[in-house]
Amino acid sequence: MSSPEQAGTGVGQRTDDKGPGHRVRRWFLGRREARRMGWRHTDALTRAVVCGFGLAVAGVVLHRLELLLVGAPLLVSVLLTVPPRGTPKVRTMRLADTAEADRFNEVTVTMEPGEGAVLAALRMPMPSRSGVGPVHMLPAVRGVVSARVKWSSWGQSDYLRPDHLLAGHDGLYVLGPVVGHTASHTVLPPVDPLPAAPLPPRAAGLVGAHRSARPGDGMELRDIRPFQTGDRLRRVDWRVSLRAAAATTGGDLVPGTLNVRERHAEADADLVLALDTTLDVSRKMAEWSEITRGAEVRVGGSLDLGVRAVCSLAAAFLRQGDRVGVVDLGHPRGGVAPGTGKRQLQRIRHSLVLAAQRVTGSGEPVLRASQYPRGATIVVLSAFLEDKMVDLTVHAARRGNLVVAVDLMPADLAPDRETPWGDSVRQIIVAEQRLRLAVLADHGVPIGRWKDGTAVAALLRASRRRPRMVRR
Amino acid sequence: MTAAVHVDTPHLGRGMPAWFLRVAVLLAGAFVVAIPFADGALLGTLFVLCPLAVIAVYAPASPAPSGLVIAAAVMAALTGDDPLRPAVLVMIPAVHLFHVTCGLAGLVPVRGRLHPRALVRPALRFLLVEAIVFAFVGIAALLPATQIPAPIEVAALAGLVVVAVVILLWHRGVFRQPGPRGRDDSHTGGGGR
Repeated sequence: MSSPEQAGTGVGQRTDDKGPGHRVRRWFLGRREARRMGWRHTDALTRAVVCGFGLAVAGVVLHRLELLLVGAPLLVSVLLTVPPRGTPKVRTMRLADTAEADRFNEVTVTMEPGEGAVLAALRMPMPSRSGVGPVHMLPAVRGVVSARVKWSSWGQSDYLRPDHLLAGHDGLYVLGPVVGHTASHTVLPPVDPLPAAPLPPRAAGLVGAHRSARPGDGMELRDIRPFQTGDRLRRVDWRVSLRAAAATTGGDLVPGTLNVRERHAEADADLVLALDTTLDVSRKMAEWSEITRGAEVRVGGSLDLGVRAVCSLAAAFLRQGDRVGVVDLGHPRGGVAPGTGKRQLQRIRHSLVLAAQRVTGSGEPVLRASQYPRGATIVVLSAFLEDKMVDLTVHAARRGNLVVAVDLMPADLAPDRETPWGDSVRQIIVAEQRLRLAVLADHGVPIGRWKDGTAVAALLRASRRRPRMVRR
Repeated sequence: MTAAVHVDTPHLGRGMPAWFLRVAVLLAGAFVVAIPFADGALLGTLFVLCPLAVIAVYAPASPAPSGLVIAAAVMAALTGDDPLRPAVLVMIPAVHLFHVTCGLAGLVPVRGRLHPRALVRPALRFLLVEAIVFAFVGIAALLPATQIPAPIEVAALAGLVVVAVVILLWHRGVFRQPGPRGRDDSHTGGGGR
């Protein structure tokens, strides 16, 4: 709502408007803006006054009591109405900047309607929908109006804008509508519990959660062998050495009878989740060419599915102690470098929200060797609608990494019914996609569909034992 | 937050769709249209009243409800001689209900949500107004139906005009005590913007 000063300023800005009527026009605009401020009467009051008094006068003049009686309720209604004078105040209590999806949150507005207000039209979010919600008609009482909201979709969004309008009895007077301050937040993608699979250990490093094939200082026994030059004395297995000495030399510990316990080395494992953010396709093919508004992601689409999958996989492997990173295939500068811990999961979730906002502006998918550590396991999540995705996946596999492809193409694609070629297009797209997946399989890249993550974990477990293709 | 704020206010539920108010306007309008027709009005009157009722449903904060109220009152005056016949007595709450529902429907968008507890005070006020009006109807029924002298009629008209002027001035705030114009007294918080 603008003020008379603003209105005056708006007119006054036209300094070159020196016409004869500009002062009159400015005065009228100022009066109009002044009328819109504070409590003002509505059409209902005009109707009550005009019809009530008009019918009463007409009834007296024409000697028709019916006219007087029909208009009487309107007349009495006006006579009983005291013009409201209060100054309403609506305050919001802001939530945290980030929220969890699929969890209940309480959005609260404190309302002080002031003297004379009977009804309040207040915009509040709905319990099960995202966004600022519709306008609710409520009794104008002083207190807290709270809504328990669960956001099912993730991303950046406005969750509260308490636009309000206060009304007197029968809507004869109103104040507003007043546009409230918009409150925005980021709803992080949900993390579904997922069983983690063992990953191939990374060659570099001597610490980690995974048993390496190499001998080292880990806990797990690898072998018992004769003492060699360079072995540490603390590795000598005295029990075995004494038995060996008793069996060969009659109990004397001479060179050749000492045995040491050899253990496996422990190593880190890197998991890189490469998400295709160049496309966001849903089940309905007619929607593929539509550009989604702002930061919206198609619910149930490939990107939504991919982000949820990345979150779940990252959480599962980070819980296991692995190093997890994310590569944004559409934006090489995006993504998160591999790391560990709970904060890494938060970093990944925030980066995914940002990545999902940039689908429309993304370029060619890129997966360079510099984007992931050597020896890392790479999970490529894509709908594989482009040959380029197959190329970069195969190249990553040829560099010696364990690469697993996760197909995010929605099942049961619905063709565009507005064109006679809809079904043919669907068949061609599905056939081409199958061909791309077959090419990946020929290059030794295991492929799985994302359902609940268990299949992908099993795929990783099985792939770990398989010999990998290395470029010669 | 002040101490008077009720922290334990129950959560805002889903409420009802606000188009229920438009349905209420439609039903009240249909009632207003049906009464003169049942009272013996010509079929042609429907062509005047029905469009007004439909427009009132679409735009409750428009002059259409006023047109329907006036047209219905004129029909009630033209279709019978007895001013206290049942059709007129039914028309009184029907027109009032139509007026109130239009006033409420104009406050909330069609896609908004209506919480039934918001209608409690308007309903009580509706009953109060109807009680006062029917008290007048009872008084009118007791008065003799004879010719009223012209000076009394002129005095009644003048009284009505005086009441109208007083109410108009009252609602324009002429009689209001000028309070201190502080920040709390201003809707914009005193900042002017």
